Amino acid sequence: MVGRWSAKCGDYPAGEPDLHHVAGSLYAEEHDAYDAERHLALGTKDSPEVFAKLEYEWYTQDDSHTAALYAARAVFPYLLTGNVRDATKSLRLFTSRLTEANKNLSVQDVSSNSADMRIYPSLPLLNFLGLLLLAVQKGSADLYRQLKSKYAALIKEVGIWDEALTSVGEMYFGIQRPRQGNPLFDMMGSMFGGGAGGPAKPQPKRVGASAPVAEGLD
Amino acid sequence: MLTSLARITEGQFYEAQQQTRVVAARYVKQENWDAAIDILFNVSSSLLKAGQGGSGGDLGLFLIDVYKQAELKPDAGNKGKLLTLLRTFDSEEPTRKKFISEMIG
Repeated sequence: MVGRWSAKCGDYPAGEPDLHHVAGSLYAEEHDAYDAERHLALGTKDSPEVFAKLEYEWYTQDDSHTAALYAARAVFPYLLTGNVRDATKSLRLFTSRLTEANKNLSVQDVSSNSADMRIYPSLPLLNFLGLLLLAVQKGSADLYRQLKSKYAALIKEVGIWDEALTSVGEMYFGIQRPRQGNPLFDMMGSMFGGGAGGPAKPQPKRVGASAPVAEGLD
Repeated sequence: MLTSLARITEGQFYEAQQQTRVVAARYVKQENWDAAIDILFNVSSSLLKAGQGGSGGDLGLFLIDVYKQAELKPDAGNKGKLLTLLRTFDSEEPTRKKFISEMIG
């Protein structure tokens, strides 16, 4: 029999969210972080709570400046499955644990007409994640591009965000990923009307679309 | 099913597993899904409770296979049986990971 039961017989191609939630929570309790993450990312509205706690506890065993790396482990999987709500929720829950446990962490609240943001001057990449979610919510490709260039050096240092950010750019802002084709083939494609090496222009995904597409997840 | 459960109380775990497999396979052949599910769930659950993760897990996987063959919808009752088994597994039991991935996808 090909295919797994809940994915095959149910309405969710990636499997039933409540089964993912239970399995993810179980792995989280047992500190099996990688398996927990895979399932929590496809879970229910209760999963971000467990997910943020898992990442936060993991983070506490690392250097204090690495907070954003752990927060991103929840934020990116949610974004890449089209789940902006839980990406936002997991970042909020992570940062509230962080501020709760570190009373002397400096925090600035920035408000404008269109948005409220919490800024952590000592954790720039955490601000990057917050601003990235803002750009996604506003569907602003300009803001996304500005962010990527402003934080380019720090992102490069992280090293492992590039693929996720490229996918976010593609999904939410319609920014085509750089091609990795054969240059000669591409040139011929452009000479002959784009039939050969020209991938179809991706359609930007609507924010809050109801059917999430699992990208890069099984 | 009663004889399988009796074997478990007597410590004959392997015999209980094998007997259950034979009986369940017969039900599956008759497309008597309810009976197949009933015996697989009950015996698997008893084996897991007796600490027999390997044989209990094997019957649990068989149960998921029956769900697929019967094309059962993931309603609360069907999911509940699998979650009950999942919670009964010892966390160190290697079959549990396979059970989770077969259950969800």
